[in-house]
Amino acid sequence: MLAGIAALGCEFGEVTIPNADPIVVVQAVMRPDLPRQWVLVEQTLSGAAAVDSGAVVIPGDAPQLPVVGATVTVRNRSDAGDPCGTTVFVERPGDGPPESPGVYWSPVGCPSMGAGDTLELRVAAPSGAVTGTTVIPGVGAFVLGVGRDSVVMPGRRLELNRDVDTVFAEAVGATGRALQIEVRRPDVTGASAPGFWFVVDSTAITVPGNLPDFFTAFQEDTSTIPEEFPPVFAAGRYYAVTVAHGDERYFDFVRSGNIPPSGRGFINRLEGGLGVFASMIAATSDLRVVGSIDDAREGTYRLSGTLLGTPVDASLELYVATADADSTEASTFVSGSWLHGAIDESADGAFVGDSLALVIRQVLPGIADSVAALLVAGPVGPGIGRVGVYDPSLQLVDSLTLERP
Amino acid sequence: MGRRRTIILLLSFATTMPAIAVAQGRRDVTGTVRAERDSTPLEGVIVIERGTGTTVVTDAAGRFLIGDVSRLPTLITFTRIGVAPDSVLLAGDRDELTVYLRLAPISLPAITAEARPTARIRFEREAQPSIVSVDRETIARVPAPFESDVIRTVQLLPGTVALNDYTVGFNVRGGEPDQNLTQLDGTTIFNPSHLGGLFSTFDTDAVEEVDFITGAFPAEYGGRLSSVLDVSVRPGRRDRLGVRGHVSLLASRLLLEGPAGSRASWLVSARRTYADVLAGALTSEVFPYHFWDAVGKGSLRLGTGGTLSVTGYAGRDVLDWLWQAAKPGQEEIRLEGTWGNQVLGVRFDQPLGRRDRLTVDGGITGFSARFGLQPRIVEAENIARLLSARARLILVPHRAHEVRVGAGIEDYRMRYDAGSESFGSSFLRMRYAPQVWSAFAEDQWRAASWLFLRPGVRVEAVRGPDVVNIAPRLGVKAFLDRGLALTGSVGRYHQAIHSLRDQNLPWNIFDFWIGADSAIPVGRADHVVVGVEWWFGAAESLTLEAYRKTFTDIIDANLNEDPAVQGDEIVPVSGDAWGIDVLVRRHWGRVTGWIAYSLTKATRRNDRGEYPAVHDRRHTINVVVQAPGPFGSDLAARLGYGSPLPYTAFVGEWDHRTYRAATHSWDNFNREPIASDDLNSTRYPYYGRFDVSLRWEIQKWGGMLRPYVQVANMLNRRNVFLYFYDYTTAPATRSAISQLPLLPSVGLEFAF
Repeated sequence: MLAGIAALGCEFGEVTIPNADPIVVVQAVMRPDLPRQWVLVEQTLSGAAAVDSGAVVIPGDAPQLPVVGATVTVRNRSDAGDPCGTTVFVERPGDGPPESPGVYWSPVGCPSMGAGDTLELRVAAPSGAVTGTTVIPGVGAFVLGVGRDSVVMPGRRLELNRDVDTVFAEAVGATGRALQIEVRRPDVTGASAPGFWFVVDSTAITVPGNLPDFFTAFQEDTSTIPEEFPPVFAAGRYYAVTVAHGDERYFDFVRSGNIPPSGRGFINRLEGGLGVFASMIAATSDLRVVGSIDDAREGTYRLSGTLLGTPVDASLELYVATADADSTEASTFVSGSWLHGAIDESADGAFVGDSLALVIRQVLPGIADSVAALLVAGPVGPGIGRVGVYDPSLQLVDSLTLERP
Repeated sequence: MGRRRTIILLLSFATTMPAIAVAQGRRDVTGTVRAERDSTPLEGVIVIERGTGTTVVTDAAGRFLIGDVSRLPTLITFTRIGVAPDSVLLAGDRDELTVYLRLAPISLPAITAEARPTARIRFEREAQPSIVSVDRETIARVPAPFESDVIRTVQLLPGTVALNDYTVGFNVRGGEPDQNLTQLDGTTIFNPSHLGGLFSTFDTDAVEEVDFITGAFPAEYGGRLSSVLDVSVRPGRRDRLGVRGHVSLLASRLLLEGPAGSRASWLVSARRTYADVLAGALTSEVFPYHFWDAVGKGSLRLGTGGTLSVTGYAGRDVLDWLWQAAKPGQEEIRLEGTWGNQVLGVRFDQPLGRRDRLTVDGGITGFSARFGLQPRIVEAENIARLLSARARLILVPHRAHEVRVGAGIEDYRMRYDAGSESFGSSFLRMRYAPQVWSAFAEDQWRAASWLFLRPGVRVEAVRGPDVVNIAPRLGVKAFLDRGLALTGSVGRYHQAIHSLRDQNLPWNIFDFWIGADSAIPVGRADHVVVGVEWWFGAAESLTLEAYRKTFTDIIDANLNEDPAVQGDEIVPVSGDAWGIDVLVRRHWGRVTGWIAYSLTKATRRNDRGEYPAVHDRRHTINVVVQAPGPFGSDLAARLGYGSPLPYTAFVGEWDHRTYRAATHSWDNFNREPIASDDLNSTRYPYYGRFDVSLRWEIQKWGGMLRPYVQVANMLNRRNVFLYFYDYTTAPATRSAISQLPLLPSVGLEFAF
């Protein structure tokens, strides 16, 4: 509706205005289930020139205005005998975590915190002090279920038929306020894609298997209205589901925001600055997502032969994801032996006419963050056929047999 | 002897005459004169009561009132240049009549008559200040975007401030929009707007008249702190079937009316926008919004001399947007919204004896809104419902007293639900159910020939907060001569329901009503009004009023409220307002219209201090002129000026990030503006607007066609709607979004 009004009116009269007084922005979530904490200290955008901080941890687009030289401390107010005492967070810990202006790291294991403890933050920045508190939430167990099957998280991988099933998650025995669920692809094929994310004011949540990912589309670009929403779950893929329980401060932070017409609405629980000092605990389990077989091209395939001198024999469990007039997207589980040894990944591809193209990625054993990607493409039909294998520069490197049992 | 007997008989007859006259009684006769052809009201018709020679003239709505008429059958004559003269014998048991006159070029002998518009008669007979009536013809001619609009016209009267062109909400004498009681034939309407406030719900063709009371309203009115907007639906024709219609660029509407037997009449009217239909027919685009409304009225004259009328209204705004078509394994995604009012009111009106009268109203009114992102992703619903009943008895025990007593009950239910079936989660659940029992008594006392006093009191018992509020009221009018009077009123007012809105938002799709309970207070306001009303011509009047208002326990939305807690959704606010309203008006003639000026200062206080109200506009001027125009047209123009309104400036932006528990990292963010803590400490530029309309009247096919052209914001002034700030650049910048640009439109009215 606001867009309609804006369409009636017109934008005019751009003028420069004086810079505003910057406000310190602190955003930090303490995690008792993780060994190391960090606090992000920035300042509001006030018309000052952007700083090329070389930040590697602060996410988001430029400009970023990190606050450097602040003194950041966290104290457990509920534990007088806390061996950590007042924990000092530093910008340059020098023992592993990525260093970046505006990011302050705690020592490993500090501050100590348990369910119900109250932590107290103090950020002494050059422009003033910011303080806040959080009460550590407690959770007896996180439970993840599909249909009648459930696990205490982290637990074994569950199988979800996205066309039939609903995922449920629960924080049992929880003290806190906000239940957050995150869904992302954990394997090398989908790790870079943004994941689904949602928060409810409850200790339990359900997510239908066929739910469109309405929310991630909006988070990627808040300035335009997305026209397409991908599914949260697509068949033929692995997903990691993280369930987290946050405290009251986190709930206020995540449920509110300053809206554009008024500049008001965010519930700020910090003193002297803006942002959040909250706490949360979380657990993660995996899902193997399948779907109903309702397309003739869906089903099991066998990809075998010799690839660059290495015998390979992989089973494909292929599902059609989305279809339009030109192409049909598909995903498949790939398991068996592949170029660099055993493989258990998902792969994405597309049908164009009767031809299938799949990009199969495999983590290189023993080499950190290295992935080998090969394109397998060729006609798909009943019986046995030959498909080409291409390297990332689309040079044909070999061919394999694709068989549909 | 015979002579003595004759004298005795004559004396006996003479002494019994007053008794006979008293037994026959006196009455006020009201009526409407319309054109037989198309039912349009006829202005300037001379109405003569032949018995006494009392002569009045109909106003722009065709109405007249003859006071103190005998209960004997009375001959009433109607004459005007251009109509065939006619006479009606009014039965002794009738107080109201509608006359249809045939248009005819007939010459009349010269008649000297004193023109007395209804407003003048009200001036002479009522103590109520701060009331302005606007009839249908005036509303229809005031230029407005696309088509005439009842509330757009009201926004041009003194004492009102409209925040911008995009809302029919308005602030009266420093009050909030939710403090205006809007009624349709006596039944409350919760949200009288379409398209998020761009248009009001009232169908101009069906409206008889609008009474707008901007302050110190009488004891019979309760439930709001600032104003009463009483919209009456006209009864249908009693002589034949009538058809009226209106086609504009926005919508089309059709009205049918006619008699039902000899005692009853009916009227139905419906309207629908068609941008969605046209977009679908002419382009490949989809326009997913439309609204419709319909109003109807049935009137039955009872054998007892009373009337029974039923008024109904229904309207819906519909948003239905197919966001994404269904795909294999994925249902379609659809954004749905529907909201609107439903009103059903019944009124029984019965004269009792000489001048006494009983009126009983019953009504049910509801507003419902439902929004959903389907399939089952998010759904929200709001329902507000009011059941009301009230009775009012007007007693005239003596010519110097008109006593009004009455009682009523208002039973409110409001509920809000939001949640997601998909996520198995409820986000919001709120319930409010105040119930208001009220009683009032008021006496309009003509203490002297030059002095009216109107003492009154209203008592309201509110279940929910469980309080009993007493609201004394007093009105005074002192005539310095026949056309000049000093007026004064004081009163206390209470309001048991509130609209939950962030006052800093320039625009609301509709009001979110909540009711008083143990945590939400009943709002209170005290009014003091002094003024002068001067009739300086047969049709010209000047009203000047100064006022002071205080507000206690009015509310603002608590932006920090917890959705799981009911009772924390408001923060208490108090306030003050004072000002001066001036209205110079020409009521009838070739050139009619008004000049309205308002001086206002309105402040609010919360726990952080005092600040200007968002509608604290110091000066507002509206000039409305309706006159013969070029090319045989009727011209109407509106010139408006508003001094700068306050707003809260932005002092920066921040990156409100998203925390990812899986990776213990902050993800992409929403960049959000930050408003200053100093509320409403900055002001927009002044507001200016000039609207013009031309309309022609063509006799065709036995009916009347009235094409029109109108231009809103003819000077294309860029009035600021709101500012956008960009603090990501160095230096920071600010740009504006304008209100309505130059907006021409055409349309056609017809009547048969």
